[in-house]
Amino acid sequence: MKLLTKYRQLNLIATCSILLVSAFCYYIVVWQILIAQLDEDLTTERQEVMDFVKINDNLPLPINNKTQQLFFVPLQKNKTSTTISSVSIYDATEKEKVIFRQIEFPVIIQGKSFLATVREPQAETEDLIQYIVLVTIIMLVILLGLLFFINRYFLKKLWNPFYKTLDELKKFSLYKKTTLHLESNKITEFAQLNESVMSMANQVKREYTSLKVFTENASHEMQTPLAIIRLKMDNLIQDENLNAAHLNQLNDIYNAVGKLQHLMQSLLLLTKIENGQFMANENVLLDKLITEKVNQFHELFQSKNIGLKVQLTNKNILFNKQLLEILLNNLLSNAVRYTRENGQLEIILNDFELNICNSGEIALNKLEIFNRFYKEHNSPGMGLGLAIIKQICAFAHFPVSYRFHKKMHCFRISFLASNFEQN
Amino acid sequence: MKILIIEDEQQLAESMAAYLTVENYICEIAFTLKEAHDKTEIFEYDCILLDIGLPDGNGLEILKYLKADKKEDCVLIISAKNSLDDRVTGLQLGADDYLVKPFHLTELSARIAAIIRRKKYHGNNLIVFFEIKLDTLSQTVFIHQKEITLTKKEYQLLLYFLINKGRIISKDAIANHLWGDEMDMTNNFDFIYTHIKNLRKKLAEAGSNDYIKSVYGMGYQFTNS
Repeated sequence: MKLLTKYRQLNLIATCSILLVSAFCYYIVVWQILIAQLDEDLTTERQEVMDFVKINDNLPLPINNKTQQLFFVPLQKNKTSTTISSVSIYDATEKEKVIFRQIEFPVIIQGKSFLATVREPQAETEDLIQYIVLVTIIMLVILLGLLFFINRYFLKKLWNPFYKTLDELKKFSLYKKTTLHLESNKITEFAQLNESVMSMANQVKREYTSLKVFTENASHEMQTPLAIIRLKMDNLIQDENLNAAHLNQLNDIYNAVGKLQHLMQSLLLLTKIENGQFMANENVLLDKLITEKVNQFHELFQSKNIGLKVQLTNKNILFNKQLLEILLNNLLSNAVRYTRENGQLEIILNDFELNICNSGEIALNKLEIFNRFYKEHNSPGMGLGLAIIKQICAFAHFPVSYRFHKKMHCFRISFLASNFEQN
Repeated sequence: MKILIIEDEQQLAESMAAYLTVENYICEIAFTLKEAHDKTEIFEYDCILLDIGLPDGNGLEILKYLKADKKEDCVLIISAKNSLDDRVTGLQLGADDYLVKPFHLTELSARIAAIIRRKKYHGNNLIVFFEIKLDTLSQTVFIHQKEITLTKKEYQLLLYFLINKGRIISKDAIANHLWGDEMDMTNNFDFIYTHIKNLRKKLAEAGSNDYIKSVYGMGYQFTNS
């Protein structure tokens, strides 16, 4: 949900509640005031009746019209107090109940007690209240409506810098060479936000760059000593005085150095891809390249007697030949390494995807296998082969996925980014 | 034959020189660009091994000097950077081949031999070892003057052996030479054995002695001792 939408929702709920409560309060207050006014009128009437009685020692004539009623009832019991109340009385002419405000008070004429009642209809007052409340509510609604639109406009304007920042952040990428640039803002909060975000992004970028530079330098620096070790060993093994035990040990050193070297090269390659040092601007005939690679690996497949099934359709992709070769090398190397003797290898290429499947016993951990340095048990590799594959595919925007199907490990590289399935 | 090794890393330069001296090359070493420049101005070399990353500049400068002076020394670039750009630039500037560090000395030797053969000895493409005669131009092999048929890999293997004759060649070096170093076989070189076995069989069938000696799991040696 968008911030503005949420704000509008809350705003609507709040204003409606305020409107309802205030309308109710307003009604009560106005009603009280008008009733008080009415009561004052009635009290004046009472005083007039009392004055008349005092002067004439007789009852005034009863009144019965629309605006006022006055009548007297003989009183049995002695009543001394005056009461004011609202009563509803059936009106025969209007055929409905009408609410009156009445004042009742005792009068004594020639020793006889009478209860005098003065009534004035309350309906007029009620009507008045209704009009007043209605007008007020209309005013309030118009006001709130205006406020709503004004708010909307101002909020959009106010939050604009925030959305700008958000857009910039979305565009920001560690892999790209661009730095995050956010405009300064007069609003303190946004200025602070932009400052914090920029300093954080730059910090992250610095850390990332220094890590990358470190990896690159470390790998580079290690190349020379490794090269020295190798060359010295190439010379050393020529020594005729070496016996079998020496040579066996030297062989182990060779293997270890080979592994180390491969590790360095893999790390360097990963850094290079991340650095964007490769261009994706070559037209590569993928089917042709696969055929070449399969031929290159031919002896290896043969040595393990791996059954090969290759189905290729012509596929031309715009990418980088060197990276594609590395991709295929890694996929095929894995296939050779992990397929048992007499196993099966299937390479299927169509217009949309490349599938490379090899026989296996148990499924691999599909969440982890593409991570750097992740190794399944008994894996002789270093756990960088698939990480490199993933990195290359990410660079090419080719989603890559793994699944275990019918006792086959299947790696699928899709050429349509939109077809991505996170398996 | 004279070789100039331009390499700032003393250990590397000396290792290369030591190995190549045994192969009857006369080796000189230049540690800096300036030294290299001075040497190439005065002397002529059959082959120059050129490191790109030198303390006082880019080794590719040497190629420019050579070109400007119209010298025809063979140049083999040795670089720590496996960068395609460097390779292309180097070859465009007139280098003959490109080798990425770290490499095997047997590989270096094979590359040098190939360059010199190609550039300096037009016409003479024969490598002879007792009854074995290998013609690098037509890529044919004769045993006692009789041609034998080898697969491409077997031919490359034999050529590699002949150039590094008497030397112990590690299995790793053979695998790298025949299949390139991008194949990550994590030290499983069993498949090499099949090729050695086939080559041996074909040579023996044609009446050649068995010169391929296995060296304690380390590698192989092509020798008549």
